[in-house]
Amino acid sequence: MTPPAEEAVPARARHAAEPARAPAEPEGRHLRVVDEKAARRERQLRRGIWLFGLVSVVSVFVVVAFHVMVAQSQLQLDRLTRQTAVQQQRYERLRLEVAQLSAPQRIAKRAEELGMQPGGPSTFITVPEAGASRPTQDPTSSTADYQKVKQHLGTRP
Amino acid sequence: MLVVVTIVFLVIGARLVNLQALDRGRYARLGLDQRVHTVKLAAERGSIFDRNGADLAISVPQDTLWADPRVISDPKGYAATLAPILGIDQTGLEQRLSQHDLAFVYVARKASPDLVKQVMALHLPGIGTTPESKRFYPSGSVAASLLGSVGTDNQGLFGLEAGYDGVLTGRPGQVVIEQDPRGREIPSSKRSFRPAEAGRDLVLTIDQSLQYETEQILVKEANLAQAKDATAVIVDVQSGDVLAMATVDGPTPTQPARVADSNERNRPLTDVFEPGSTNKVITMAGALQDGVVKPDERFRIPSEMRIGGKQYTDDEPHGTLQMNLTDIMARSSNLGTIQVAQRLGPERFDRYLRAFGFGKKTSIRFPGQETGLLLPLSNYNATSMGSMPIGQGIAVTSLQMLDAYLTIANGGVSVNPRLVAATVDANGQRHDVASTRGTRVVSEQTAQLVTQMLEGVVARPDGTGTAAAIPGYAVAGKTGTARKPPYDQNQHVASFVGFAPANAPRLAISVVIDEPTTKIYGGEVAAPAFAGIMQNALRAVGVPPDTGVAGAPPYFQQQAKAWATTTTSGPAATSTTAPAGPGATSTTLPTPAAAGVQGGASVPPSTPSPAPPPSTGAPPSAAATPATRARAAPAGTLTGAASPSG
Repeated sequence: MTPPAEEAVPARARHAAEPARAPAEPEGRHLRVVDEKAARRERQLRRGIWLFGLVSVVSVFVVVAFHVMVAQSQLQLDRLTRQTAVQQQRYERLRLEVAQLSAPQRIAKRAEELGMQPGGPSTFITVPEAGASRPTQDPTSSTADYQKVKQHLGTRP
Repeated sequence: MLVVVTIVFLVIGARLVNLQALDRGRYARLGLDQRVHTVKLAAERGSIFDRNGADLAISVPQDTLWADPRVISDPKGYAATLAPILGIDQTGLEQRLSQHDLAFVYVARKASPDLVKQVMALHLPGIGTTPESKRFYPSGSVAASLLGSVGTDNQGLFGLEAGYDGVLTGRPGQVVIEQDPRGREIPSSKRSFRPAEAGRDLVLTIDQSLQYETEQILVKEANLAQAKDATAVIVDVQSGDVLAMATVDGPTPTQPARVADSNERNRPLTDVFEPGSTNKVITMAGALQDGVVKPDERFRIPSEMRIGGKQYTDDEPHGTLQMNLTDIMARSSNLGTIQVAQRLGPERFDRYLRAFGFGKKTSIRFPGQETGLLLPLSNYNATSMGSMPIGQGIAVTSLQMLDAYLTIANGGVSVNPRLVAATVDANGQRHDVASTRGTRVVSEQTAQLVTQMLEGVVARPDGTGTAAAIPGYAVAGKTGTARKPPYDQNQHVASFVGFAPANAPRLAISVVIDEPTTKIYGGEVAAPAFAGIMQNALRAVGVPPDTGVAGAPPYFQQQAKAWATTTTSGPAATSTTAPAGPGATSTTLPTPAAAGVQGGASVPPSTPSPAPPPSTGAPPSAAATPATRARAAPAGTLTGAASPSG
């Protein structure tokens, strides 16, 4: 079906009747009023995102580092526990060694090897009461005794 | 293609649903089982110390070698390598290592560190170590049968190790941990820990050095007497502390006498024997206590007596003699003792046997301790009052007999010996085991009279126990020689039980020699050992020589008095300071004439009279011989003392 002629003509006529417009300007150069608040919000949002990202990364690193430290501490604790056990074991062995070395059997055997002999029964002696010292009859006797005895030592009074 | 992808995703999805939702619990448990491990923490067994803190038994960690047969492909090669190093049977080890269905088998338990080092240096796959505790007895055989031993898993098997197993064994702990596949603990994982509670330490009353010396003397005596075995016990009269308890095995054709092993019986507590004449002390004490005999009463001793159709004689044939109680004891007259026992009667005799501790266990806690064999009064037969008063027909342990003498030494009050002085808990806190108080069995006067009689056994020239004399000390004691059942073989038990110093008793000792062959009498076999042990013990304990005994210098006499009044306590102390106590013996001596009458009248003309006492009226001094003093002292004191209360 063909559109009515009256409708086509007015359309062309309208186009011809419009005044000539200026050539269109690029959009970027289109000047407009800047919304300062919106711009600030945008900057803040951007900074927030960056900060969040940074904190997240740092947090992850901190958590990882913490876990590493915990693991290292656990390993150190294990080492120390083992070391304690080893030292405890060493102490027990040394204690055993001391006990074995101080056993009466061992001491008696060692003494025998060194040429010692078991002591005889105890002998009790009576110490006479102290009396006044008696002067020697010969005043020179002490010197004589000394010379008699000590000459073997090679000295002179 | 799309269909295949869809099916794969469906399968994976279904599996995920199964893992995460339907079977979640099971897989969670499997995971836990793989990483959560419960490790048992063995409780350390308590140590055993002597009274001075010397280690008698200690537990030391040792490595146990184990193997995982699943990863061992060459069991024969492993066995050939390991067996020579460890000194174990190669075939047995190969069999163990060939059990490929097992993940764990022992290779060598509690191996020495050097051996473990050698084995681990081989870096054999499937061989590992695990720590275990091993029991050591650093002093070797010293007190071995007393201490006992433990099994492979440290459970007490013999001796004190078994008797105090509940005290020595602690409570095992456990730790629950999460581990990675390499066995390392997962950090921040769940963990629960219950520490093991170590067993308590035992502090014994035994003195290690004294124990060793005692054992050495017994070994020597057992060799000399060619005995089957020998025992000796030393007890502190004041505290009841057992200072030494020795058991010795006699010589065999292949080896000399030696100290008993840890798996042998501790015979002073576990073996009974017929005591023989050492039992006469109970007969005498009972008779004196009940007043059925007087201290200076003389008995007519025939050459033989017939009781219940059985003939009784003294050891040495004699004609009719006149003897007082002191003579009867000194010469160990069977017939005199039987007459005294007949006066006492079976009821009272039985009562005294039990009061002195026969027929029941001693105060010491020890596994396998015997109560002895004591006839009930209702089972007495016609010969019972002939045999039992002289120590036949009853059986006691060595410590039971020593208990009886401890009662006499302690002024008539029983002493409860103890072997464990204290326990030490895991925190190092010491818990003393209090000595239990004894009960009065006979009066102090009776105990003094019996003590003086026992002194005569050792100090009188005609006494049976002269070999027990110790220079410088007054010794009270009694010999015992009993035939062993079934009596048709010539087997005897020789013993000597006594205490010293007699006037302020400090130590009591019993020596029992089983089946001596070279000599059989207690006075010949056991008394010398007693003297050696007592002399050594007195020196070790620091007891100065007696007052008024030959060989004791005046300085020591003063020291002995000071010591007796300052350090003794309880009934013994009372007896030493009481006017009529043993300490007063030297001031209540009879006149030489009285003593001479005593000595002369008791011996028939045919018997050589003992040497007369010193002719001075002064108390015995350092110059007096033990024999003269002892002969005079008992008789004179008996004469001067009041009759015991009954």
